[in-house]
Amino acid sequence: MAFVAPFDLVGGALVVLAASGGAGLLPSASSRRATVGALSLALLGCLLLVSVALEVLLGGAAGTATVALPGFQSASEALSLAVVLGPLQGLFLLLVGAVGGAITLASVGYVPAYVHERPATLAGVYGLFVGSMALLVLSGTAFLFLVAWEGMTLLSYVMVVHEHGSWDVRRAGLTYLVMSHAAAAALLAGFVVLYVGTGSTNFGAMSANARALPELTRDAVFVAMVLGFGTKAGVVPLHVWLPEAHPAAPSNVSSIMSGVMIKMGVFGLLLVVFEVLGGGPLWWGFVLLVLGAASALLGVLNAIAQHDVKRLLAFHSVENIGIIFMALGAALVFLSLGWPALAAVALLAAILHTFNHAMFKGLLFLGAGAVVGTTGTRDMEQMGGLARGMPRTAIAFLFGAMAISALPPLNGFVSEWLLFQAFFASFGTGSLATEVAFTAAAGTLALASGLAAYCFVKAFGVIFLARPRSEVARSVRSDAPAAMQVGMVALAGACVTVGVFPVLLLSTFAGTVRTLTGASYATSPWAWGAPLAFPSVSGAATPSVPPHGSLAIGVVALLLMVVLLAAMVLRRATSNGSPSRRPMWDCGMDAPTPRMEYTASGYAQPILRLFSVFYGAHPVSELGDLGGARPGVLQKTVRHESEVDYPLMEQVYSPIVRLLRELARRVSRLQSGGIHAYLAYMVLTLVVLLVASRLFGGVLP
Amino acid sequence: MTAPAPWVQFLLLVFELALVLGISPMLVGIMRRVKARSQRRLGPPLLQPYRDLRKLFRKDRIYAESASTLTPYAPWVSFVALVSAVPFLPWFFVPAPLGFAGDLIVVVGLLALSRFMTALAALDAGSTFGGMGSTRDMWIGALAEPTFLLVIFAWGAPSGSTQASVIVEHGLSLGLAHLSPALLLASTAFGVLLLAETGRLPVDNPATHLELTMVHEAMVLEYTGQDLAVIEWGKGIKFVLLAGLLTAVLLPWGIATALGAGALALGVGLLLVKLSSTAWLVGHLETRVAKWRLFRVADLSTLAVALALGSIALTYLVGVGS
Repeated sequence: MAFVAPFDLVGGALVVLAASGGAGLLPSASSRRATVGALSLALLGCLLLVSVALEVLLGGAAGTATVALPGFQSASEALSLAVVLGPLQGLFLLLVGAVGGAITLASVGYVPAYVHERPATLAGVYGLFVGSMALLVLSGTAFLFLVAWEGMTLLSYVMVVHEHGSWDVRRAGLTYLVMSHAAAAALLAGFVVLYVGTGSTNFGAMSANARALPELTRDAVFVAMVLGFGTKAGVVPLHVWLPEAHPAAPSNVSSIMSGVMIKMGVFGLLLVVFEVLGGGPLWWGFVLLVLGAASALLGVLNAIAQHDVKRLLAFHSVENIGIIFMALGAALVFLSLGWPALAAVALLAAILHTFNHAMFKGLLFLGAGAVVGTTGTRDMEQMGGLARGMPRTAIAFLFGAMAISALPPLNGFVSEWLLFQAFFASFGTGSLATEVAFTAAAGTLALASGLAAYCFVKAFGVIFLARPRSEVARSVRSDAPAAMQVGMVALAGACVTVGVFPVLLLSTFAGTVRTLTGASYATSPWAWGAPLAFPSVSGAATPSVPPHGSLAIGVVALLLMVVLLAAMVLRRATSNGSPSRRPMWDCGMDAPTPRMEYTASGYAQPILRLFSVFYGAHPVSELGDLGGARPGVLQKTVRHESEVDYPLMEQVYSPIVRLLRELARRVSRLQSGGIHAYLAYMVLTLVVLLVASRLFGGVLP
Repeated sequence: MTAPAPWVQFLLLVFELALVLGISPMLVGIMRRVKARSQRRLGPPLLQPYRDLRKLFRKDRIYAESASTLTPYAPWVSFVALVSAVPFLPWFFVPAPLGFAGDLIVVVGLLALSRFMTALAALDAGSTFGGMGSTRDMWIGALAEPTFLLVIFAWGAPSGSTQASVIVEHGLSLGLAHLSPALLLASTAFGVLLLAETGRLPVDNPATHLELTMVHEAMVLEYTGQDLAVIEWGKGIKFVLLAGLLTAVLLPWGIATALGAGALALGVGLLLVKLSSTAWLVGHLETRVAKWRLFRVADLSTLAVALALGSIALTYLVGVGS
């Protein structure tokens, strides 16, 4: 059926993406042509990736194919290269290709319009970056994985510091670089332990031997992987780079980093913890669950406090990664308790939310990019009323906001519904610890999703509604570039489509879920409009408790449409003439000015006050006296200032940074600058290595 | 219990929608009347809310000059979301017509959709009052969400389902043993939630005329005509939805499980009795409490969450499925 073998296609995609890098980075006469050329090639690469993914997922190319790259085999087994293409790889290629493709399309509009310095360079690096993510997904050996991982990190770093003229951007870049390398070190350590234990760097061979490893080794690998992948995914408390790097980067880069790149951390966990290690003891699941719950809650609470629109969105990435981690944790717990069918439900929730977040967060960052590009500020307090000047961006952003707030019938609701069902299913498992933990997790998830809705009413309302709060917001007349609008509409359309027909996407997860949990669910009952019900998940064992919830979100959407139609008919029938426009209600006093509107900070105040423990917020009020007879009665000036701290930064990271500085200062004494000293170091290192290889040489396979 | 034929289900669905749309203003009337009587006032006639709606539907619409195109549509979407929740709930017959398509989590989602729209619309004109109402309403809503979810878990644990119909059927099958301490705790939590969600005292005062103390009223200051009509109507429907759910789970008796003229008539009759007694109770409660300071509402939410958690803990002790 396939005209081109998947591996040829994938090779083609990688070549096209490399060519995209060449087009952008090589000297060119026209910067604009180079930019558009590079991005178009990147788009073509994405489309090829989608076709590979669909061939693997729908063509039933079951199993895992490994292609060894010639010329790299002989040197050393540890450094061998191979690519693999199984169901899990297919899924994440689909993510990179489809969501990345929509963002790339939008970039064709965004980069020439809003990136003024070296747009072609950005476009070229962008193409290579997409290629590095595809290569990462395809990696069949730990060595290739780490190479692609490092490539992805460095290329994204280059894009984050694209506007490196500003000190803030350089600082954000440095934070990102340091955190990423700490993470990479953890991954390297984890893979080395796996290699030593299993005798192979090939994931297939590793997976065969990893289950027989000693408990302690497996635990060590798990901890290393959570540290490494958790940092890239941006889970609390390893997320500190994320709210710095996303605002600093150009918006199309924030969009693909938040939408796609941080999902590579999720991919890594699925690959190593689920596929290679095959799950583990109960506490592994609880670790992910607790990390996830903390991320979900702290992410959304911090998001509410922001008035920088991109920082707000960045904190929402932390929240949503938290939701994904909660689902992964639930899946691990169910696996270790011996309920593969329930693990399958939690895993479906995790993977679906991974896709959903990619779609709506990609969309929201693009919308924010259009707004920031047009107004020239990220400060929401300077915006307002933009729905009039940028109606299409506003509508797309509204869909993204509704999806991320988990409102039916959009995609975010479906994945959260699945996760609630997975939590609810703990009542049948008979494990008290699980029941208690999952109940608490469900409460946390509910609070987080309520707060997310709060945050997005604030964001949408302050940016797009009400009256313009500044001159620049008042003067906005033009909407985003056409290509950007198309990209945003594509993602908004995907949010609705997956929301109404989740089966379309869920049916492609079957292979992955079967590989990772051993449970398979029948695809037929998942047909159009049919309920997503638990009994259709057939596994080794299902809880003794009879039917759980079922959801036919297509029917809910249909009902909403029918009732909406009826309501519109009623509206028409009872309408008497066109409405008139009058000034708004002002209590019969002077007309209120835009300065009297609710601000982003004002909107956030009730939450800041209630959850002040998490913020360390210090509101400062100063009243300047008029100097009258009674001080404090007649005020000349009133100043109110509220500063939101970031307790984690100050209490956890600052001491670490100070410690590192101190260490670096001491180590720097070694650096005398004299050439003979350095020669001595080299000889010393060589001797140590020789001795070590003599002593421990037998340990390595 | 076999589900009836599709056309019967469709008829039931239409009848339920008509019933909820039809009686919701009446319940608002009952609450106002009870409140007036217990304050030694005469109070408006029971049918006054219907007349108000008729009046509003005839009035001209006026929008603020600064409002965007969201303003004319948001109240209708909000209204539609509330009306769409009706077929997922048990009224006088189980299984609910669309029970297979959506459980109580869908109902939570639809209520959230409705609130999202009204809160956005409140910000649209750019008035200070709108912003104030909007942030307060979303605040109360965000705090209510965990309560709602945990109550669903507590109610659903014995039957192992989050579907309202299954919960009610399970309750009916238990007889009087259904009234367990766990159920009572969870239902009390839901009662607190009902007051918060529908904007009754002590959380919000539906009769206030001072903008600074308003939550819901501040959000709709800019609306009039048919838009205000659906907002007010929607408020009544929301009360019916939550009161209907509470009474169906707490006191499922009378809800028909098989088709039959007698059973259905009894079901509808008892439903009306249950709903009006809930309205009566809320009306009385409203005259006996003062409005709480906004930030004390958080205490109320914490109390509700604690009650729901307590209920789930009791369920653990008793054991699931027993």
